[in-house]
Amino acid sequence: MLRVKEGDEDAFSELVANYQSRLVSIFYNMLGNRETAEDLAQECFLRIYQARNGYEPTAKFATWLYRIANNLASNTRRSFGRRKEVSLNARDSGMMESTPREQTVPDKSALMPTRLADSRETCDVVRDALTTLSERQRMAVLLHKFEEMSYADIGEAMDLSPAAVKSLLSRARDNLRESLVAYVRPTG
Amino acid sequence: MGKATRLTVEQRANLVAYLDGELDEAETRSIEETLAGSPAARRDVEMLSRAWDMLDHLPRVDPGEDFTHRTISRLRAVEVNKAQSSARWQVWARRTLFAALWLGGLSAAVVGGVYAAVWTIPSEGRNMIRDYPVVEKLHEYEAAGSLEFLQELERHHKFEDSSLTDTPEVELPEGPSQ
Repeated sequence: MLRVKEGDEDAFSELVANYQSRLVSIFYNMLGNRETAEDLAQECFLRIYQARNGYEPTAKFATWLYRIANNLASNTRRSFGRRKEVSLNARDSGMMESTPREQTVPDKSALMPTRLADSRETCDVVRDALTTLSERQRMAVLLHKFEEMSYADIGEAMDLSPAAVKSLLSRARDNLRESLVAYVRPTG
Repeated sequence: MGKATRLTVEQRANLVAYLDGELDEAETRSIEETLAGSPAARRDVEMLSRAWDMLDHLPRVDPGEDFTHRTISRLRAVEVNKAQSSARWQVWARRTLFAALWLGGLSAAVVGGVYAAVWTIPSEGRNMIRDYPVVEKLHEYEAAGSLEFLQELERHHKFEDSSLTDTPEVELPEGPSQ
């Protein structure tokens, strides 16, 4: 980033290449639409480039990046909420091939883990579980799971205290466990 | 801790933090003691872990190498647009400044012209104001008749005679003929 700050465009290309997959994945799992995810990732990189002169290496670059990403995702979700045009469920938005929800949400009494052999079905089940989380819970979960960020770093990216992140992730993981109870129940 | 023991909210939050390796040594020891004595807590931890592991099935999107090129192209387009917009703004600012200076000069010329006209062209009103002290005592000046008569009065110290108006029989020099 310091090279980018000095006007090195190649360094910026490298930076985009290094973070693009991670960033698009976060946006995709937040918003459920690949096109929107790529647009937002580009917007995020543009903002970083435009803010390069003010960058100070006092915080981790990734934390700064995800702070911008979090703000963009929040604004986009608010915009979606106002327009009511895009469903947050990826499959409802038509961007993911999948089976209808009633076929993927398991009958808790009937479905067993063995039924989840099909990875696509498992993916849909997990995505459904993710959509039961609040926006902030989802972002915290994704940053922790995908980016392996500490509570302190997540707090910095989301403007929360580490204690608030701890509470947020605890509730998020409780919610996930409840949503996925049919698949995570101990067999013994 | 027995099987039926329920965990507090804080203990549940600590269970997750324990799984995430976010507890300090004392808290970790405390949670491990709780887990050792509570099959329910161990079951909770197991389910939390399994649910967390299921998130590995979430899709990771690879936008491809093309994404980098598209992002850089978009960046250049934005920068060019910004530069053009900045140049347009500079032209507009220059023109506005020029127009403002021109208008300012014109206004100054108009004001200066009006001011000069007011103070250089004679006006009846201004003359009347200037002559007002004379006009105010015009009757007295007319009664005096002439400057020589007034000078004669002064030479005879008649202005100092406070009884002048009370003693009309005092002999006065002969006034000017009307």
